[in-house]
Amino acid sequence: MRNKALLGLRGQGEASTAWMWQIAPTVMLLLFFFILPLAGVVRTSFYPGTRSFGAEGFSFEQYLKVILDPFYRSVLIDTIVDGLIVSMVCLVIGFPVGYSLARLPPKQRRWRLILVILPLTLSLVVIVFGWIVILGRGGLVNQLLVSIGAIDRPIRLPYNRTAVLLILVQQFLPYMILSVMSVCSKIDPVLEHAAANLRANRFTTFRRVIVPLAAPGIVSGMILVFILTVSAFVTPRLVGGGNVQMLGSIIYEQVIVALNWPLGGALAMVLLIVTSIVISLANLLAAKKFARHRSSANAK
Amino acid sequence: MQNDITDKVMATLGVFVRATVYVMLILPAVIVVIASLTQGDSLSFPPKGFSTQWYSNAFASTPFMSALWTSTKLAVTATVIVLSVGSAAAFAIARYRFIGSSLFQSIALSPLIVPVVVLGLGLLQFLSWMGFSQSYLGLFVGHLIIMLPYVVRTMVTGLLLLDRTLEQAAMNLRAPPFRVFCRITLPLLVPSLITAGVFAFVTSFGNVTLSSFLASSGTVTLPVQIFTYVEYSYDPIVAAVSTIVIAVTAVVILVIERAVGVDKLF
Amino acid sequence: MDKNTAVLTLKNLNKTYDNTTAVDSVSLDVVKGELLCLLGPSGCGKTTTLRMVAGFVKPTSGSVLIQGSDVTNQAPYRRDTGMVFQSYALFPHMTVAQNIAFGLQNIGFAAKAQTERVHEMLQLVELEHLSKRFPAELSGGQQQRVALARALAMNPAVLLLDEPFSNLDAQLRVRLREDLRALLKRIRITTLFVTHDQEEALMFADRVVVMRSGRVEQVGSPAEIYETPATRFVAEFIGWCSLFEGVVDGQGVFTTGKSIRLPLDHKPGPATVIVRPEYVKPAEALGSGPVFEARVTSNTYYGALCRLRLDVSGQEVLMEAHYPYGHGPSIGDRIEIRIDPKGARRLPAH
Ligand SMILES: Nc1ncnc2c1ncn2[C@@H]1O[C@H](COP(=O)(O)OP(=O)(O)OP(=O)(O)O)[C@@H](O)[C@H]1O
Ligand SMILES: [Mg+2]
Repeated sequence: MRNKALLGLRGQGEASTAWMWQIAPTVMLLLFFFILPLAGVVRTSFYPGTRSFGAEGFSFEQYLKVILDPFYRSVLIDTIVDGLIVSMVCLVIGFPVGYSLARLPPKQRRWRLILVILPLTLSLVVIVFGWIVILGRGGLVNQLLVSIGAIDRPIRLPYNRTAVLLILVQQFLPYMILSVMSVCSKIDPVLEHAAANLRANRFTTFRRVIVPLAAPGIVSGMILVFILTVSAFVTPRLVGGGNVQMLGSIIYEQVIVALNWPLGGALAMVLLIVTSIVISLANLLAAKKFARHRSSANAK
Repeated sequence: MQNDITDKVMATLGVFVRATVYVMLILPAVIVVIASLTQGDSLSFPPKGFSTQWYSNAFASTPFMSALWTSTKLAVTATVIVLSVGSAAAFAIARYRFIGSSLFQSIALSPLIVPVVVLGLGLLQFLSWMGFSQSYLGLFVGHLIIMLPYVVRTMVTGLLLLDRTLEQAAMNLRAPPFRVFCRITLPLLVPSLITAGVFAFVTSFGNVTLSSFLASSGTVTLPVQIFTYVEYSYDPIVAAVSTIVIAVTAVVILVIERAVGVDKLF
Repeated sequence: MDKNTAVLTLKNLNKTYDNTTAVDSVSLDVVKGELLCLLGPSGCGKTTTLRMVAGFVKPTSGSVLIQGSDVTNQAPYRRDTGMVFQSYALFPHMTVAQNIAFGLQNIGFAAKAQTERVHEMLQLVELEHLSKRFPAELSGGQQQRVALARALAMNPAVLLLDEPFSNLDAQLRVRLREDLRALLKRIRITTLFVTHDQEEALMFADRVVVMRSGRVEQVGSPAEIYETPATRFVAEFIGWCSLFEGVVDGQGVFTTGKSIRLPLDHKPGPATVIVRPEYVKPAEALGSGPVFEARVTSNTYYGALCRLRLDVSGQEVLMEAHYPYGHGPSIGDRIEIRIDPKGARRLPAH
């Protein structure tokens, strides 16, 4: 009988405590190594001074610094702008891919999907390294430019913001593509046929039928890309060198190199707050605009 | 007539964008593999000559090889643990109605959307408060946290799609609960378990963001090793090591493709 | 065992979900070798009743007895029932033979005995040649027979069938239910089955239990249910019929207002009378009985017969008649009909 309860095989409506045993390990894991550490960051961000170990007291010093210091302020603003740019670009070029994947027959979809999943699962540092090879002095782009005579000698291509953003777009594009694909595959193609039958051209069908119905996937994809971008630090460090500062990289700097955890904590809290605001705003917007027809779109 | 023009423009544009995107997605990996086969001493493209000397160098390099071993060991053990812990949680979420069930589920999924730098600082600090800093354990639990969302999400979906009448049919055929679990529930969940396990594995194996916060001299993972190496210098040995990472990832994806089919994942 | 002892007994069975009553004090006996059918509209609690017998749903009150012993609180996997699920619930990762052997393994059949029994069952349902196939490689009808073989292999005291034909197309359904009935009769297994299709219930069952919102409305043989329904609900749910409200006078004549007059040998008083459409005929086709003037309000061609709705001075009367080549009367035509008084049934007063 006990066995039966543990395996979730009881008849409906019977009370059981088996779920407690099933969630207990995960609850402990999340409590000790997720929730408490995050709470720890909150506490640390209110320490005065620059001591990481044995710090005491309570002050808003770090937050004031983040807000008042023009350097941190501009990094914060730049990072948010970068996040918006990367998520917009990912949407614009990722949508056609995600949509076409959703509409392809399984056989053709398979190999393209592998092309999307490989960069998603491949270590980020390997991808960044690949881009360094492409953009570097002896790299593909320089060789091309030299051979067509656009430049005389190889030039330094990375180490600027555009390169960083390009690489971030490529890294996070798979998230957008998959998000769009999964929502588009739930849109009944019959709706598009109906629109065409009502004399809508492809653009009108896209704008008036597909985009509104795909909105949940678009929003969740953009949120994910935004979060990943604003907390990125490997790419800015490796490609941008010291020239491109992003919030993620200065947090890493403060925590690992400068060992100034209170300041790192305050910056991390600001990052967390920014991402939470963006998530809530996006969800609110989507809910307001699209909530009313979402139910009928999902009830295929 | 006007319709035809917009349609054509959109179709052409679509083909162009899609082709660019696919090329862009796969380009870095392809370039790394090609560059690793160079004969020269510096990274260049196209590579100068053909040789596998950088692979011999990579395999002879103690830092890279011990990092590869650390990464593999970490990914395998963490996958086993997170699969059992996360599947149990998914069982509870999918099969019981309890207070706080949806809160629990969203917390279990939230490591996906909490910025890694925040989690990295939090864990680093918490572990040093607890006296576990610079330890394998810290790296291990950190990886469990970031693997957990994939496992919970995949297993909950798998369990909800599993037809409960099959279990009832087995019971009606006199199979006691444990037998139902072993002969019916578990075999039917194998595709979900493979998917969850593979995603957990590659998440851990390739992770650099969280690991670079938690790794220490004794516990350097391969991506962290590449990261620190590339920060100061880069030569074709990194390309060779990176190709090993690409190969492992590709093999793992092909495993899913064979066992489950990639188009069933999303 | 005595032929008339009940193999399955339900005593005052109740099931309430949060605020709905799915099954309301149902009591039944199913005797050895009987085919008993639970019939009723969607949502009347048929599946819930069946699941309480199999043990997947725990009754709120009441009890279930199988071969005289109370199994109400027994786990499903200890009960001697064999169920064929509506979706068949064949294990997709096992072959046909493995599906059938699964239950045998659970009750400790030796390997050799298993093989023999599986073979015997496959012969019974005529699927020997498909034993190595997986369920996904079978047609709907074949899947149903595998599900049946799997349940029968256990030699259960009671066989439970939940809408066994609902996943099959119309033609196959008619053929399979005749075959299945013959098979179940041949092996003399006690069967409780569920359907919402009255035609299926009438042709398949020895006894029919008509249910309505969780309650038993009438129990009887198919003929009793059809010819002498106990309530208006049963009369209307089982087939087509004309319904007349009126009074019976001292001479045993039934009248509704001024339009219908029929001789009826019953006690005087208000009465509800039903007439099945096959007892209504065009006047020239029936030798005796009162003649009525009727106006055709609709005429639907069904091939072997036509179904007509007629208006007899404000009273609707339904008729089935054979008009070759569809040369029946058109809407608005006036025709003469006779109602066979033998077909008039008075519903019991409540
Ligand atoms: N798990 C449940 N929770 C709440 N109500 C339920 C549950 N299962 C069934 N019911 C309700 O009990 C009633 C009877 O359901 P049941 O499935 O027995 O009907 P049925 O006669 O088999 O109908 P159908 O012919 O549509 O299969 C319905 O009103 C249904 O909504
Ligand atoms: Mg039912």
